[in-house]
Amino acid sequence: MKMNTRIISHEFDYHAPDTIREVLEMLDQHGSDAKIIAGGTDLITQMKMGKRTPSHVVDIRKLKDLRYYVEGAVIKIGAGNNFRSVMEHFANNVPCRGLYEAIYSIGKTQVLNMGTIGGNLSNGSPKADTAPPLLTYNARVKLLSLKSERLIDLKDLHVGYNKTVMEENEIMTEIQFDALPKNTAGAFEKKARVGSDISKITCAVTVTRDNDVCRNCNIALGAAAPVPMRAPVAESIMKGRPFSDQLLEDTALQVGREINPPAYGRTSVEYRREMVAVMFKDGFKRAWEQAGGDK
Amino acid sequence: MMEKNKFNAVSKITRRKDGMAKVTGKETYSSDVRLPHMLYARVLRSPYPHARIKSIDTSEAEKMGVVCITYKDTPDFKYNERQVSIPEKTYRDRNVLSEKAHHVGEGFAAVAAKTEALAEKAVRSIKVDYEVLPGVFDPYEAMKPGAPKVYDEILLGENVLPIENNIACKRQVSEGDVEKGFAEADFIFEHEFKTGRVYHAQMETKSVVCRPEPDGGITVWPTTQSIHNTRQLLGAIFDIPLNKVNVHRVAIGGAFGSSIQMNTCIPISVALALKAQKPVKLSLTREEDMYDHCKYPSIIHLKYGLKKDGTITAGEMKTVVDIGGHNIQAYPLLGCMSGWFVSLYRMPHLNFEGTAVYTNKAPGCAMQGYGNPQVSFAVESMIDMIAEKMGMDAIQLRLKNYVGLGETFWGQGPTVRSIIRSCGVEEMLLKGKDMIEWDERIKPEMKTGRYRRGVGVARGFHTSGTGAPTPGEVIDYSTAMVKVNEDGSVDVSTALMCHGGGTLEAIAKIAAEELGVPIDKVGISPSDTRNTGYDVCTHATRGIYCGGASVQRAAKKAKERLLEFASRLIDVNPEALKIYPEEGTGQGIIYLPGTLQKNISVGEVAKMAQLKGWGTAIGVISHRQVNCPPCFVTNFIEVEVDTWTGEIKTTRAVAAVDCGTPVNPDLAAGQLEGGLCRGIGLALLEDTEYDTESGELTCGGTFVDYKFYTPVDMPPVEHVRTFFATTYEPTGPFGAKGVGEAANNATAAAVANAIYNAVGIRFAEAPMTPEVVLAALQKQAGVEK
Repeated sequence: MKMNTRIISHEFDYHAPDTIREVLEMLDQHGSDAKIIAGGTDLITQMKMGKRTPSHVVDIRKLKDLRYYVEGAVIKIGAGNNFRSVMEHFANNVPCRGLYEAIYSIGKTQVLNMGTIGGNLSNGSPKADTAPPLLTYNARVKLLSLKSERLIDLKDLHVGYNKTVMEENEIMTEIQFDALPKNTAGAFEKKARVGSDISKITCAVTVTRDNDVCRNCNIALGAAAPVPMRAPVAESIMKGRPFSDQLLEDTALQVGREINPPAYGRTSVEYRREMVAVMFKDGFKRAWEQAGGDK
Repeated sequence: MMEKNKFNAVSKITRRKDGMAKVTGKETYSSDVRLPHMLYARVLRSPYPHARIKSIDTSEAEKMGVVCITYKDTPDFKYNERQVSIPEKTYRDRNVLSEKAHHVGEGFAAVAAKTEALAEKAVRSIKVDYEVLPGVFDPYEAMKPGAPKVYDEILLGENVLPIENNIACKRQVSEGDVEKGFAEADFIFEHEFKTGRVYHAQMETKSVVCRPEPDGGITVWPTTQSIHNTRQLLGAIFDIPLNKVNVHRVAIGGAFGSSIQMNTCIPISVALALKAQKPVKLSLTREEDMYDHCKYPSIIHLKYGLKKDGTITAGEMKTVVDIGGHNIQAYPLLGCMSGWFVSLYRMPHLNFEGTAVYTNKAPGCAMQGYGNPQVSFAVESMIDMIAEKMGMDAIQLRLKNYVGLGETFWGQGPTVRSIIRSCGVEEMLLKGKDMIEWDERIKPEMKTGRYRRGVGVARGFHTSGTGAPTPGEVIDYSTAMVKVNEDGSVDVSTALMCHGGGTLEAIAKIAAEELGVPIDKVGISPSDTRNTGYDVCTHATRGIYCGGASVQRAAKKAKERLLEFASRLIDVNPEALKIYPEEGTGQGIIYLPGTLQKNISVGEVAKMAQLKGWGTAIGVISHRQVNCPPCFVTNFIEVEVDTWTGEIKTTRAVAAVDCGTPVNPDLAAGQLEGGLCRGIGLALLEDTEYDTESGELTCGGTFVDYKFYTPVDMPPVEHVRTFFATTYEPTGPFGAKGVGEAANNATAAAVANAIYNAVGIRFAEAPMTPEVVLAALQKQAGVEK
């Protein structure tokens, strides 16, 4: 047998610096020998399985500077906030309902307490539950290294299966997006085997409504392609048109066409294709209802 | 017969004696045992499903300063880890470490080191040259001529048994003339059913600590359901006299049957400890555990003949069981499957044919129900199909044909039979039917819309132990010691295990009830094999019925002695004396009914007996039950099918058991809920699939991708209702029978029957995943999308 999930058999140095600067210095110094740990829900498992063998593990969990929220024209979320904190922060936020539901779907108390939103995105998985709702908000992420700071669109972060554009010496410090317009609401739909599970496929919908007209319908999908993705063609069908059941059906069908799921994973390609259509409709209906509109 | 409400301890809801330790994390499990100078072990396991070692080089590992053993260093002794059958029915196909892998994960070598991480590193440095053999993963493929041979020969008892076409064993049982029975029928029904290789998923992975003793003996703290069988087998493998093999009972983090046997990690740790001359701990990782055991899967072909009035004239079951790489208990399994089949519904003429087949997968072993959930899934689905075709009510058809009071029950296959003396089948069906509003059911074709609900029923039973009037193929007896301490408290000593369900709590109540002392006064002693008499195993739902019966008898003996002492003190004939628990003093009070003058506490008597040198009031008994009464079970389940996604939710459930007197009512209800959870998992979710290229589990052996239902997937708490049939088993301790395995036996069929009632599609193969259900719905005409 090639693996175990209990024993980390290689030795490594553990660091818990007090400042972001020290973290960045360590990353600069150790390059690919170092790995950031936030909640550890991904890294620890990968280390036990021998998929990652860093010589230096740099813990950023204690950095208060990565745990903050800023409200205003631009909403900012510190990347070090754990899932539970983000979920509670957005609990009564109708426009950002999708993000709340996405984290809620993770389910397990231990993971909610340990996992962080920055870790979820940095890990690079196409199944990251927080990615689809944030994609529908056109979110940006801030990447920091000793020598540079850059703000990139979340849609450009993931570049392949478990791959991101992040450099070895960069950490994610912030997730931000422009405050969502009024009459906006969202939803997150997930298909999984059991209540607390990694997804077979997910769908986030964020809708802005102008009475009966759908001003905007942003759709994003997880585990539907090697990276979390938007469904731009489907979005354009709905955008600016008065809502009708037929329009919903047409859009749903298009969502199914737009995905590019791998043949492996937790369900079949066919099932994923059929599900995204249903999930989009379910999510859209809930979001549409919540978006209200100035009637 | 004693009336229920007269009990003082039995049937009372009490705070569990081990509850505080368990909820505060202070309980000691095998993996918590730490000894001075202890080493940690890891095992080199086969990455291939079928391979032979050409050469093995441990020199790199040894350079790391670890203790290393390979298959060459362990005793040349073929064993079967399960020691419940008599020797001539025990199939022996394994060694402590093997030079041939029969499945991925079979151990070849092992190391012990100062840390587990070093042991892991050392094990990875062992170089092996493999001869990779073609594997076989399907039982029908395995039986074909020319298929890869998992074994050439094994041992049956002491005799060499050649293995032909990978057939591990066969069993055929018939009564009457089945052809005549089918000829007498007006209707013949036939169908095939399948269930998956579910993983036990017990919380604690298998673990062991072994300490070599200066006198050449060993002391062992293992994960096991039977300390005595573990002891005997270790003694045989390592040729150590049993008085030098001491096996301790430690708390077990769940079992579901996975530790009925002496787990294979145990002799590996013993071999390492003997070589190292230091204590060695070996705790399996989750993936090692998942490659170690699973539920026996089933392929069951059923045939029934019925008269127009619904009377069954004949029945036939043919089953093929894919047992994986080792034959742990396939022979008794097939016998039991015949028994479950025979004991569900009366069949004047019957035939059973079972074939167990080796493949290169993780070995199957007993799991909650031991073939019974599989058989009940087939039979109880089939009964619904028959009722539907014949236009009969599914409950009426069951009531007409079930095996009940006064009839013969096969508790452990054809050799273990007893007469049913208590039966709550009718009560449970009729009461449950009202609770779920059975009569409101409408036919599936009248249902429309995306979400469709349906209600299903299934019934079943399990045996309570494997006792019988004559010795059979399986061993069954228990030993207990009960003694009254000098302050009126009581120690109960047995080798019984509690797997979490409250067996030892029940044991304490039975002792308290018999002695007439308050339950708080009874303690369960730590036990090991040196200080307890033989107990076969806590399996087969026998803890309360068989183990409890021995404790009751031991307590009775101790009581007789106690009352004899009391009679000397208060000058009353001992046979006239009785004992009751007095709340105020917390003492058992010995009294002469009808008078207040002659009272004396149990504590006073025991103390006086000590001071006067009369001795201790003690009782020791080895007892075999001569019956194995069925504990009947009935499930009603409501499901909701999402016809757009194929997802199925269970929305309501009624679970009932006829366990005779429920000794721990709250824990028994909990068992019913747990059984529902596992049974729903069997129906809708669980299986271990294999990649036939690599021979590996597609789930990788972890809980990331092996999923089972948890409370969040169950119907809401307020919609899960349980109740007990009001029966009294005359042969059980205070009227009690078993519960444990019965709890999940009927569930999968109830789910399948509910799905049929919801959408009109019969699923005969578990698990019924959303992907499968959706495909079937799309095939069915008339589903709006």
